[in-house]
Amino acid sequence: MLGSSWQGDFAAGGLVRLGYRFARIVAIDFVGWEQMATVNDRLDTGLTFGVTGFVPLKRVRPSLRVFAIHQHEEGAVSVAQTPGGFLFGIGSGIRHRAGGGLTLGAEIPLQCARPGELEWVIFVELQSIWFPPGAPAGPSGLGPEFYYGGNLGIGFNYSLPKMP
Amino acid sequence: MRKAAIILPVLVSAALGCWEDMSSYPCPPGGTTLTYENFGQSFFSEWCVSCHGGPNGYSSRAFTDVDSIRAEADDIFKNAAEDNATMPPGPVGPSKAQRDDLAEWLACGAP
Repeated sequence: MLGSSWQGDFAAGGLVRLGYRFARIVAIDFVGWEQMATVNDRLDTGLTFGVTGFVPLKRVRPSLRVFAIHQHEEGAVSVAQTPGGFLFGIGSGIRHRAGGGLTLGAEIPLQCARPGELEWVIFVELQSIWFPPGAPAGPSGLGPEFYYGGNLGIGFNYSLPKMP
Repeated sequence: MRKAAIILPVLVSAALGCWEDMSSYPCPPGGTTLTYENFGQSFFSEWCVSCHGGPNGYSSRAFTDVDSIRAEADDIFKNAAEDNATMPPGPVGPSKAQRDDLAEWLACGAP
């Protein structure tokens, strides 16, 4: 992600994705990320489950993903006081938030692959996330209402060989 | 794998930066004129108790009286006093002068 609806808030990090695609068109998938953000010296741990639809073209496969998210927003002190625990949202001062998001992207295969072979791909995406404003709150709530930005990555698809 | 579990949080902590703790901020030799009545109560009411107002879905820590604040003084300092700005969440927060006052008040025992 690149930024949020908080003024002066910028973020960067890495993500991992794991999914299962049906008939090359629809996938159910998990995407998780860890990113550092400028406001509050905080770390955001995003856990998302979603559905992705692909247009199965040969050279570029456009995609649209709809997902639900649970995100932990934790300050540097929380991270240091609970080493390892912050990855699972365990520790004091960690704000748990839930919301939803959309990702518009494209997957670009780097080579042709037959069933049983790895197909390496790069992907580029634009993403936005919305968290409903929490009930409590200080002047800024528990965290930004919107996040927006992009993802760039490399991965692979593996087509299961058909049974004889 | 075990090494990674130890090293990763350390690297993340280092990347996030460090913070001042209360031992680095001694109470001024003459003490402080700040008290709970003329500073602490209004500071915490303005910036903290909307979440830290009692057990709720957002925090189990309540900072609604001076005893509970004294009990958590070290953690409050690390999160919100002097140059520490982890709390309150968001770009809108106490001014630097208010955070310096909080540091002094806590360092002097939150009288």
